[in-house]
Formats: sequence, structure tokens, C-alpha cells
Amino acid sequence: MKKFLIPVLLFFVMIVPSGRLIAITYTPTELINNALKLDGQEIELQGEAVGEIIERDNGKCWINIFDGSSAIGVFIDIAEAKKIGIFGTHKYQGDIVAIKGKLYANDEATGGELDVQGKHLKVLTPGHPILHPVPLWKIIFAAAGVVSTALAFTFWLNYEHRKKKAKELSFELESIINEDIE
Amino acid sequence: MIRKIDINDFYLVIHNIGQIITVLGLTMFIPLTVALVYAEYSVALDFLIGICCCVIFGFITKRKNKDLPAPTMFHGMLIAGVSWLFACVFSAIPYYLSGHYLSFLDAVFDLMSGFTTTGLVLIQDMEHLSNGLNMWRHLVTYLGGQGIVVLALSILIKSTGGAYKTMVGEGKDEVLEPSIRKTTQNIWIISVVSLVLGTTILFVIGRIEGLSFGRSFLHGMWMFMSAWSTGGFAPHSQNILFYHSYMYEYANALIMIIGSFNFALHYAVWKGNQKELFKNIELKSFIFTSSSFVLLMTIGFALTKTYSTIHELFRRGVFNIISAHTTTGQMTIYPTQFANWPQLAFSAACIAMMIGGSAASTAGGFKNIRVGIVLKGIGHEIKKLLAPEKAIVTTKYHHIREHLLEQNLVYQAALIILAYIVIYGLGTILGMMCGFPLGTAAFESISAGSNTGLTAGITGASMPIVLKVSYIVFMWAGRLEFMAIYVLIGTMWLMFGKPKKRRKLM
Repeated sequence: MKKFLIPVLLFFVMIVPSGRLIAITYTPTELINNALKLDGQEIELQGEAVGEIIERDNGKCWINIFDGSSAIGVFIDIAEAKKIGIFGTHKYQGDIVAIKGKLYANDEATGGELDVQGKHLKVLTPGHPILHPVPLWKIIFAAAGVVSTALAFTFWLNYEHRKKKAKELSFELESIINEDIE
Repeated sequence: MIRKIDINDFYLVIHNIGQIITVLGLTMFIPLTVALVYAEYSVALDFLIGICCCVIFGFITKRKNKDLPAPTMFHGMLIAGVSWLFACVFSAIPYYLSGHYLSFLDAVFDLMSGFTTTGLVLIQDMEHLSNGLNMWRHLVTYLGGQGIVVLALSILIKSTGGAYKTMVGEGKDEVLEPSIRKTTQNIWIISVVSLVLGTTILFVIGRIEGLSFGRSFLHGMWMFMSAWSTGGFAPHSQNILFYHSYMYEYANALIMIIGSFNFALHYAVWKGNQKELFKNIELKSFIFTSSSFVLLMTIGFALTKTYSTIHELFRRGVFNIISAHTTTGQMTIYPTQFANWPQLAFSAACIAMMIGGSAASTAGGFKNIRVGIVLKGIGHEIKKLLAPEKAIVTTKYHHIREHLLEQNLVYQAALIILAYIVIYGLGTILGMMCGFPLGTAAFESISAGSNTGLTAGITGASMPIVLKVSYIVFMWAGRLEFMAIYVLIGTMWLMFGKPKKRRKLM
């Protein structure tokens, strides 16, 4: 039995790294950087779902998966995409998902796009709201800025007013002198 | 004879820069409002701090008009050149405070990229940007495309002297109307009407293609600003790929082509002179060069069998060539894919970026009119050689009206083309010194110098500081078409150069 098992196990160990039988997990950046190598292979993609579901015909849609630096598009059934509860935006950390599918370097079906034709989607970590508390130093800086601007504006108004007055005064003086001369 | 520089020259320049920065600060009320509408209070405070810094700077630099000398071309060039640097530093305040940048230099880089309508970015975590910050990113590109000095002139025309001279310094030497006020107003009317139309079209396409109502509107407006100003920014890290829509791509391609045309051409068509479209030398030059590049790219892809259908070729090939030629920088492929393009297609994209769009437009590069003039100049020389010795040979070209080709004009055009080639070469050498391969270094350097914004993968927050600083300088010099930079260097030399010849400044 052992004699039979060892070659079988060895066969799988040799085959698995090529990614043909079991999908290896990648990030969007890894997929983009190795697109030509992985073209047409079954892969598993992990990352944050961002943006929103972009629905297309025939029950299909686009979703975009982000890893912190790059994002890649996944064309998948709407029913699968709807498993995503939260998409990443400024206010939300999106669901971390794992998607099984095929990578295409130039996908003929989508106009030559580098994308993943997704088959199955699983939510690994649900998303959550991102809090953006306003730091105290920002409030102090902004308040100081507004006060300084208001003061500068007042000084400027005062200066313009004085300039106008001086102009009027000089005009009056000029007319008095002219009258005296006459 | 070299002119003297005194303290009043300095005051005049700084006074005008202060006014331009004040106007720029006031435009921050737009993203501030967007931030408040979407309850992004921390972001709103970033903009409030930015506005205060700009306005206070404006007050500090304010001088009495009667003490200032009459503005000359020298002042105009200096104001245009230096105000862009100040604008980048002040506008970078909300960028940096947002926490999406690793350093203030990175924020200034993105601002210079925005104002010069380049489109290269160092921003981090782009998918979680606030609407307020995205509004500012795209507004900066839009304002930069029309020219920040043009913006200031439209508002401060009464108090800003030497208006035409400053506009020339910014690379906008087309006068649409006898008055500069009218000219700047017309540039803005054309741009704002186009913004409304373009946003509506992209909004409708967004809705058809499955985007939500709010996203369709905001993204429609931002993508229009990006394409019209030939900037290339987008609210997502995938750029226009985020939408996965051929309709969106074709509409943007059309907007960027129209956006890259000369303001004078826009104005002529606006005024009902459609015939200009068939006569204009820049348009003819653009059609000729873009067709040639598309042909080269197609041959390149055909030889390597990269794309198998016309649809793929248009979306992944032609779109990017148009984006390169109009110096927009929107991308339908990933940066690493550019590096894997066949050599012929890659070279076509490089040359397309080098040439760029039209003069006095939002586009960068040599400009079609200069290429047209130099080509006409070569033709003129050949005609002269073939003509009898005593014959007087004249050559004309059509740009809004008939012009006689003068030797001085050909010389000036050739000189500016040479200056662009020098910065492209310098950037390539610097890129190679930083360890990047020749092709990629050249591509990135041309992209920065021609204000295109396509990337083959070098530009990123982790790139060497020397490249960040040099790309900032290249983007700035390329956008202002060198003249303002020459004047600035000359002034610096007069102020701090040879001690014996140094002019008294203060």
C-alpha cells in the first residue's frame, strides 16, 4: 500500500505548485504582476470588495477587489456578488472576500480586459464602518485660522476705509485751495 | 543689456502671487461644501485650514498698487512661473492633512501633477478617499487645465496689471477677443458649458452601465474634468477600468480629444466658424500623427497577436494611444501591461506623448502646431532649394487665419521642441541611474515632461526622492513651456549669481 501511496502523493506535490489542480490564493497586485504567467488558470483571489455592484445583462455584474495598492475587476453572477454586505468606501471598510475563478490577461469576452471570471464568492471577514473622529488639534488650527483671517480682513477693511477717507480729504483740500486761488 | 531688479519688482510679483493664491483658496469652498454635504467633517476642517492659509498669505503679500511698477512681460513670466509653485504648496495642505500621503513632498507631487494636468499619483489607499478630497483632486486638474492665472485674471482683472503678459507666461498666448477680460471669460464659458454637457452625458452612461445615481453623477463630473483638462485622474486606483464600460471609455476618449484642442479653435467653432475644423493646421497635424501612431500600434499588436478582435484593439490599444497623444493619461490597462506592450506599440505611445496636443489648450508635449510649423519649415527650405535662385519663396499655414511662415517662428518652435527633448533625456538618465530599465525610464520621463500621466510602473510612493523632485520640475517646466522657467532662472542668477554683477535687490 505504501509503495503505491508515495508515488501518488509525489505526483500531486509536483502538480499542485503549477496551480492546475488546486487554486492558489493571490492578491490583486500579484495577479496583475503575473497575469501572463497565470493567464487562463484557476485562481483564488482575496481582497476587499470596493465601490459597488455594477450590474450588467444576463444576471452578471462587475465587482472590484482591492488589496491596499491595486484593484482588479471580477465578472461574476449577481447572486454571488450579493453575498457582499459592505463595499469599501471612505466611510466603510468593505468585506474581505475570497473569489474562485479564472484569470484572463486579455479577456476576449470583456474587450481584452485583464480580469477574473468569478465562479464562487465567499465572505471571509465582514466589513465595518470606519470612524473618522475630528482631532482636537485640527479644530484648534481651524479656529485659529478663522480668527486670524477675520482679523486680517478687518485690518484690510479698516485700511481701505482710511485710504478712501484720505482720498476724499485730499479732494476736498484741493477744491478749497482751488476756490481760494480763484 | 540686462534689466535691473529692485525691491518693487519683488513686491509686484509677490503681490500678484498673493492674489492668485487667495482666489485659489476661495475655490476650496467647493470641496469644503461637498465634504459638509457628505458629513465628512474632518475633511471639511482640512479645507478650512487650507482656505485660511491661502487668504492670510494673500493679505500678508498685499501691496499698495501706486507703489508698484507697471507690469512688463518679465513680471508676467515671473508671476506665472512662481505662482504655480506657491499654488502647489498651498493647495497641498488639505491633501497632506487627509492622511493619504506618506510625506508633504508626495502631496506637492500630486498637486503639481494635478495642476499641470499630468495625472501621475503618489496617493495612498485611493479606494477609501472622501468625496471632498476627490472633488478637490479633480477640481485642481480642471482649474490647472484652464490655467490658474486665467482663473485669477477672470476674477481679479481690475487689480491685476499685465494680464496678457501673465497669461503668456502660463502658455496661453491666444487672445480670443481684444480684451483680456473677455478672453479669460470666454475660456471659462466654453469650459463650464462643456462641463455641464459632458457631466450629463457621462451621468446617463453611468446609469445605463449600472452605477448608482450618486456615483453616476459625481464620477461623471470628475471623469469629465479629468478628460476635458487632459489630466487623467480618476476616483479609483483602476482609473477608467473601474467602470468596465466601453461606452464610458469611448465617451471619455472623445472628450479628451476635444479637450486637447486649442481654445481659439473651440472659440471659432463656438462662434459658428465650422470651416476652421477643416483648415486648422493643428487639427490636420493631430489627425495625421494620431493615425500614424494607431497604425504603428496596430502593426505591433498584429505581429505579436496580443489582441484578437477590433473591439479589444480599440479599447486597449487605440484608447491608450489617444490618451497618450492628448496627454491625458487615463488608462484601460494596468501599468505593468504597458511594460509588456510590443516594442512598436510602446514606441508609438512614447512618441505620441512627446508630441502631445494643441498649443494654448489643456494638453502638454511639444504641441501639434510646433510640429506642423517645423514640418512646414522643412518643406519651405526644400522648396527654396528647388526654386530658381532669384525666386522669392513663401509658405503659409492656417491657424484661425492665414499666417506667413517666418524663419523666426520656425526657430522658436524648434527651440521649444529641443527643450522638451532635453528634459525627456534628462529624466531618462535619472531613471536609469535609479536602477530602472531604459524603456521604462524613458516612458515615465516623457510622461512627466509632456504632462501625460501614463505610467509603466515607476511612479509610486516608494520611488526615489530624486525622481519625485525631478518629475515635479519636469511637470512644471513642461506645462509652462519653459519661457517662464528661463526668466525665473535668469532672475535667480541676477539675484544670487556672479557677485560682481549682482543687482541690488533690497
